[in-house]
Amino acid sequence: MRRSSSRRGRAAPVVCVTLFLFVAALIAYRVFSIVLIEGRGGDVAVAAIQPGQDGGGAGQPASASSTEHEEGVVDPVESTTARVESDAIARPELAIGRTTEYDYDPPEPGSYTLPVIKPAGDGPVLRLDGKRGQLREMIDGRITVLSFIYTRCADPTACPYAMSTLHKIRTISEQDAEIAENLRLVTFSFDPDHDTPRTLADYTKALRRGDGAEWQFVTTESGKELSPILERYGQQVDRRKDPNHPLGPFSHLLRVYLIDRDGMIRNIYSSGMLDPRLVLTDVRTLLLEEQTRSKEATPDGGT
Amino acid sequence: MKNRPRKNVQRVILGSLVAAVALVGLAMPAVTVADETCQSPYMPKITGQEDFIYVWTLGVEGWGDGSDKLVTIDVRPDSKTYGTVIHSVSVGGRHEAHHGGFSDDRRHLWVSGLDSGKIFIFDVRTDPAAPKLTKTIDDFSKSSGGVVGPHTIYALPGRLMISGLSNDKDHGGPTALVEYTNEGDFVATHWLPTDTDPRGADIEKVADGYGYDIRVLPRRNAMLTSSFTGWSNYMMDFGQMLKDPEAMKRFGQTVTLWDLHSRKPKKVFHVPGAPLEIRWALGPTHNYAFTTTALTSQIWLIYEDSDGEWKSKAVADIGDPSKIPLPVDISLSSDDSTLFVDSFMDGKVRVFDVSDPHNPRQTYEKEIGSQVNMVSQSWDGKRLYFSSSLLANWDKKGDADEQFVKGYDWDGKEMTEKFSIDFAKEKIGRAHIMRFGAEDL
Repeated sequence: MRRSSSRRGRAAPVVCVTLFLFVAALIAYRVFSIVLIEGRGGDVAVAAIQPGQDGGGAGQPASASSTEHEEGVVDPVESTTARVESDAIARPELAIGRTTEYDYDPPEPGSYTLPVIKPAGDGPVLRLDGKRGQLREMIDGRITVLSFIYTRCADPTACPYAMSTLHKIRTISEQDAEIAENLRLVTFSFDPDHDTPRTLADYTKALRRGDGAEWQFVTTESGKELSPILERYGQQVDRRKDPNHPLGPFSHLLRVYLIDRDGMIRNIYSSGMLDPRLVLTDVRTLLLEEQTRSKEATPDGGT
Repeated sequence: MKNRPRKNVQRVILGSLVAAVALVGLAMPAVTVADETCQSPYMPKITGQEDFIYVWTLGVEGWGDGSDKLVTIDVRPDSKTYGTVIHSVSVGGRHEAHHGGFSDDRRHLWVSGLDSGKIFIFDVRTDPAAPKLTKTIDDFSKSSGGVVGPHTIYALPGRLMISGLSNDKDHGGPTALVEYTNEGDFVATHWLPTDTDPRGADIEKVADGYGYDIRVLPRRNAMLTSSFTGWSNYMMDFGQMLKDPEAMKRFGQTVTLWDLHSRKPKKVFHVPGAPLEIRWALGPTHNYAFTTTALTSQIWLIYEDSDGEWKSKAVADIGDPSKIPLPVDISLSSDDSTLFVDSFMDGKVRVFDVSDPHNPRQTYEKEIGSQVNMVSQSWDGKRLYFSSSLLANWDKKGDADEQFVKGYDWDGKEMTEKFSIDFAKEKIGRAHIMRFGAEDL
């Protein structure tokens, strides 16, 4: 007798949609956009976009400040601030504006310093073409934003969020030649068993299209080669007891590293501060620092 | 082809589940990622019951080895050793053990000595029931450029921010914030603004350059620091200090607002009377923080007004200020509705309804002991823990010098004692800061 797979097939989506609607009703006071990026072979990546932003980071209209009920409490709606047009051109990331998650204006590039935290670690990696290389080669020559992720991660505050943020940065860099020429994004999977170069290539195909900053994706050949690299970066990864955990088989803290051209880590971001505006402000701060150093090194001071 | 309908179902399932998780996860207030409500928002959260309490304890001569130690108390409700000390690590010597904090990955607990300046780093991940000392930083003052008295140790991504209490020039209050990597290497020093070097900050009245606590609100890119007193006071006998008019002038009267990302001070509020612990509200639209003043016994509110200006004001008295109950540690509930305020001199905890942060209202009080300092609460607000010691030379004398850790259940109306450990009778030491540990983390 033929199994009623068609009935099962109809029931499953109904159950899931019902679950989804129930949860959405519970938290109806917040608004999110979720973009499904479908790669080849049916893999699905989810990029969570922060409220108040569209997928392309387009500018938000200038708005009055949000309504406040009493001092110290603001309305739970996004308050956005649009820079004057000249600032938006010089720093296109400012067009993102404030959000409920990042409700502030970033500092001016160069108005602060980023102390050296520690040297960026090195180790053998596999590139998307399956060839071996060194992580150092990915970092050399450009200011680098390095993130550790794995594609099976379903924690919206971790890997999908990191991917979304780096994608946003890359999109912005398409409008800024200086950033595009001087910045490299590197995404490093710590799940070599699943995230083979082929899997990563499929997963990232849509992300690698277009112009903008170079974006490299790497993994390692084995866990044995992975562990020393993670240790050098202080990126802790634990295998969950339940391999079928809904958030993925690994638990980890989101960590994204800003690395200067000398291979030194200059900032570390995690959930709560992975604001693309801040990351790009830091990149610009490093570029200004390089320019200053270059002028100081010139015998005539650059004149 | 046969698998295509199944794959479509899988996509819908995955997409729906992830979307549901995303909506649920992101519906939580942005900074609710820690247990004890005072912890850094960058840390993972202990959900449910805490398993252990780590108590950084001052050594007392003649009590055991007389050294400072990290003590572990079992608070698993079904454990046979519930409410008892199950582990202890002595660090050798008395350093004026005081405060401590976790790294952002919660794998290490850093605890410090206000006198020696040493910082002890414990692995609390390998075996949460038995912390292990893995590293000692013994050049804090030298590396930082003269900062003395590492006090609050606060997790930032991949780093720790440590507040000083003093400096090695005059052992007075002017001091700095110091950054370290999670691995224990010095990164940077950020001096508090002073009247002679305001570092770009707006000064409301005075900039004393004093330090004490650090708390951040990432959503607003804001950091607050408070102000206490320098080494020459906190290492002095309490009674002697009270009789010294010059010493009594050397207490902090400022709270400083910083740009968290750039580490630049923006504004120095005038908050007289030594503002100590700071607690940011946790609600996603709550832009305010509480502190209390030790010498003037007031609750102060630091808040953003309707024009986007940050301001400060006193909002309530704690007990009878004329009797100087000496408010010390505070704890804000995860729903921002309740503020627990300990006062050292009368040994009491006072509970305030702070649903309206501009008008706190006391709803309950209880005497915990002859003296009380620290209070830690569980995320669900149902359990409270108290410890006794303030400073070795400031704790009471004789029979009034009770040393303890006590655990209570709190149902919103009444505190019920669950366990009490007499740290004097057990000859352990002066119990100070408490931090939660969990096996599942």
